[in-house]
Amino acid sequence: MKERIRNFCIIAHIDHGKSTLADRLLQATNTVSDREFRNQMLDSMDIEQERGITIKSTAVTMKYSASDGIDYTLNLIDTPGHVDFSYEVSRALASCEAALLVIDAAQGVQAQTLANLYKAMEQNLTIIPVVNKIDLPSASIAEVMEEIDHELGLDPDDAVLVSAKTGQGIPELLEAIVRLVPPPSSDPDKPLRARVFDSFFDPYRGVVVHFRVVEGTLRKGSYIRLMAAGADYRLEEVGHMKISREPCEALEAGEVGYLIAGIKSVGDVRSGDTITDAASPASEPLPGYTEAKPVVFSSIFPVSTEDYEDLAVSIEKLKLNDASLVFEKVNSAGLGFGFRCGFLGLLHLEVVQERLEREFNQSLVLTAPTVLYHVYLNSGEMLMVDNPLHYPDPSQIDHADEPYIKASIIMPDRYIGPVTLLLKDRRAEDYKSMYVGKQRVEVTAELPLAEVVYDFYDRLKSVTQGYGSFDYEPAGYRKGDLVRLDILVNHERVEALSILVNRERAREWAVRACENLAKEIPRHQFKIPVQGAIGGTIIARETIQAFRKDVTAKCYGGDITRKRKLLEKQKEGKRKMKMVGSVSIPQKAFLAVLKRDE
Amino acid sequence: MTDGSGSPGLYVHVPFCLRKCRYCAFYSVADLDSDAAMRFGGSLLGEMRMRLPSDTVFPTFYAGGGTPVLLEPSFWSEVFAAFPPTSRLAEDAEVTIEANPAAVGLKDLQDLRRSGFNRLSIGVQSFDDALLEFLGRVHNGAQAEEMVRDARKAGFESIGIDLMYGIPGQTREDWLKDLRSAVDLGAEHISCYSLTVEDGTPYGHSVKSGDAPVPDESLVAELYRATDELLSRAGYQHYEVSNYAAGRKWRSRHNTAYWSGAAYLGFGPSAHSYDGRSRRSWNRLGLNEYLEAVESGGLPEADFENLSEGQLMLERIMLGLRTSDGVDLSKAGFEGEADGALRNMFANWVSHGLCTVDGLRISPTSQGMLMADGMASSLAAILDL
Ligand SMILES: Nc1nc2c(ncn2[C@@H]2O[C@H](COP(=O)(O)OP(=O)(O)O)[C@@H](O)[C@H]2O)c(=O)[nH]1
Ligand code: SF4
Ligand SMILES: [Mg+2]
Repeated sequence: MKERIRNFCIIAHIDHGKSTLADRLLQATNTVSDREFRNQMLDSMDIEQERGITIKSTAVTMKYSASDGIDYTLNLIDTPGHVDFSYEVSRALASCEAALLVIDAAQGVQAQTLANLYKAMEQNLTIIPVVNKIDLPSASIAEVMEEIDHELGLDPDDAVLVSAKTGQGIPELLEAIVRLVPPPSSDPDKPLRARVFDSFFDPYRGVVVHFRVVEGTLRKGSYIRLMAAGADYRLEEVGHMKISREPCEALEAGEVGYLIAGIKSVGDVRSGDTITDAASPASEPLPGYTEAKPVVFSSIFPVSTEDYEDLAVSIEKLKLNDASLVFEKVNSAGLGFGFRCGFLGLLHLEVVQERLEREFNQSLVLTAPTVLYHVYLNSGEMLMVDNPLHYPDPSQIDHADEPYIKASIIMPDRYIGPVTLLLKDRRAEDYKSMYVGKQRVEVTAELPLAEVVYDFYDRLKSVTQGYGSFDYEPAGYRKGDLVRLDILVNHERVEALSILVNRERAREWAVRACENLAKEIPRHQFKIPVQGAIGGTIIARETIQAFRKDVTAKCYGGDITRKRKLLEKQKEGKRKMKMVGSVSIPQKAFLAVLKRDE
Repeated sequence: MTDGSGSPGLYVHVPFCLRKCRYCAFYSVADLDSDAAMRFGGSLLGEMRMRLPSDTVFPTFYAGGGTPVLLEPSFWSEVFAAFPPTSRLAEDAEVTIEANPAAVGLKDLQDLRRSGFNRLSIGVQSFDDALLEFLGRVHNGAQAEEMVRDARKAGFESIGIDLMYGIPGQTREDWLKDLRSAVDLGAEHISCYSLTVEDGTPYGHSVKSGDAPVPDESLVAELYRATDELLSRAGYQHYEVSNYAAGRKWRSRHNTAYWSGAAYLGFGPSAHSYDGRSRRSWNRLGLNEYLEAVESGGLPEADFENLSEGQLMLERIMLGLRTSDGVDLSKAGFEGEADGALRNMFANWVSHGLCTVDGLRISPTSQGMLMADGMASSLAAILDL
């Protein structure tokens, strides 16, 4: 049975054709009919489709009748494509025996080709190079073959040439998968151990868990235990993920599938957790489980205070489907009730914001993202501070430590100059660089997480013209020189805009924040000063000029209805803004402050 | 809440002009022959007979337009005769007619005075011929001055002059000169409107195509302040954004009724009516639609709305803040206290010289009246109207 199973994922540099190739495989194996088919089939969320990035892992089971006359089961696991979710990626890769490494025939090997290759190699996966887009006139197959050999150290004879667009080479690729991907080497008679690599929330059935059975057998109706969570559930349904779910009686070692067991929230099932049989549990969980910890914190408020209840309901619902989101209720003097949230990274923050706004129709104000600081008081006490508003009075502080990361950046060597400059600008220390290919360099450095949180990834992509890939791991805490910067609008502090920032960075941040606010806050009936301040010291200032006039000239009998309607519209606009003192601040002003450079 | 449901002021809209001015978006047509005048007169009388209430003493009457003096003065005697037998104008009623310097001579003015009008509102706009030409007015400056003198001769005690500023090409000096002329002519009332660009007017088109400039906002604001200064020194009260009176008794009572939420009845195409409580209605806009409705024996009402409490309050605020008397929120229907957000806003306005505040009464300064819309929408947002 398991000899006929092939578990694999597709990895690639962005835009090299991962999603398109997955689409072709689904069609070539008749997993979807032409009628059901739509492009980028596996990216189901709007945001995934729009941004062209995969955020959640998914799995799909395909049936393939190979030329040897045997029917095979192919399990394709699609993985997220962003460093914020690298833990999920590693859990997904751990559930496969092989990876298709897609390389664009016109572009050749790129940074993420390498970064992803390394990740796959760490998991001892078999790698099948797939040269894609061979239909392009600019395809240079010979060169790519050469790169596969020299830069990736893979056997070019294993490479399959395809066009995911035209379908050319897809039958050969399917044959190669059957031939080269090893069948799972697992034992169905050992105690059950299955690895969770993702889960999502189905409003009708509760949580649907995706997993790979590593050892043993999972049977419908039996009781299972999630080893890290320490909870038991009765298995209501197990089965294979086709495009829809196909229930079956049991899943054996080597198989990939889903289960439904009356689990209420995805928070109860963490990626990487081990499923075992509650009646005869395995003695050890599978290795590799860690709890995803939030690294970036921000508060979310509804634009109109009275929408808090709505937001509370929405965020609870979102949480059902996003285990890594953590939050607690907060109350701010200026902004009313909201939530203090923890995120895996800035993309995760953006995804949560976008989903709340689009799927749940919320209008939000977000505070500047902050990392978790260790603040040591004169008394010797240590406070963990992830919110500028909880930053103690400076006179009580002995010193504050900030979190560091070890960054790894892989890029063609021609970008080493700009990347070094960027790192320097972000207060990086301990640079090291080494060649990892003919013209490819890996730079490692240690730098404050706070410097990465804003737009580091975007800046890196821009200075390396998209060829730089980035990954990081925590590297402990180091002493920092921290201040709280406040933004005053018309002499009132806007709580949502306070940030904790390195002293050297404060002025630059304040100047830009004031400029952006002055651009986005509409004129009022009076002049509005916008200031950046550390304690009582003003370090930046802009002024929003007052309206010259804000009244229509004539208003006689007939005009009243029309005029009132105009005013009602104006009022609606103002109602959608946050009142800080007497100033109406539009939502986009809050967002503009968080943007670094244009 | 104030109840403006006392006797309504009356308004009659005469939709004819000699020629359309380039900036004007009021409803009027420029082809009046005697047939059209007859037909319109008949319908107007018909509408008044249908709608005028009995047993009522009306405080004001206002003939506007358009150019109401294009109708024969004798027509107005018929209008007043069409009142129900138990209704009439008050002894001290303010009876106004708008006049255009090109359209009337001394004789007409005497006839108008005799038929019952005691207040004349003259659309002068400017005494400067070049600016009048730009505006597309049919008269010149000399005619305007002559008309004011004729009006005095005819016995009008209350004379209002409308002027316009912010006209492309008009300097600060030009404007102050126009103001002085109006003061020198002894006008009891001066209205100063800034030129506005209205869609669908010839001036609006020229602005769109780039052939004419938009009035400069900062110059307009500066002229507004200069106007307040000059007219205050000359003894006028700035009692509404665009209106100045030589004393309380010379304020336009009819227009004040609009701004304070009192009842009014409007006749003629596009005229609006309000019952002083919650119902506002308006007549059909086009002359022909209006005539057809009345001639077939029906009311010419096009539509109406019932104002909610919130809408009424918003109107009180929006209109009150245009006047120096301001608005008392408790009288406008607000039942709460001035809490944090409201107090904050008041303090801020006061500190910027936009108004004075006494309890829940907000009285805008001259500068505040210039910000009336912004202040009203901010208040509305806070009170969630
Ligand atoms: N010409 C050509 N274009 C392709 C091929 N495969 C993918 N593309 C295009 O390349 C772009 C990126 O593909 P996509 O599958 O979204 O890449 P992903 O980011 O790796 O998922 C899309 O515009 C695809 O239409 C191919 O074989 N030939
Ligand atoms: S005379 Fe008055 S109503 Fe007639 S077109 Fe000119 S501005 Fe408009
Ligand atoms: Mg994709």
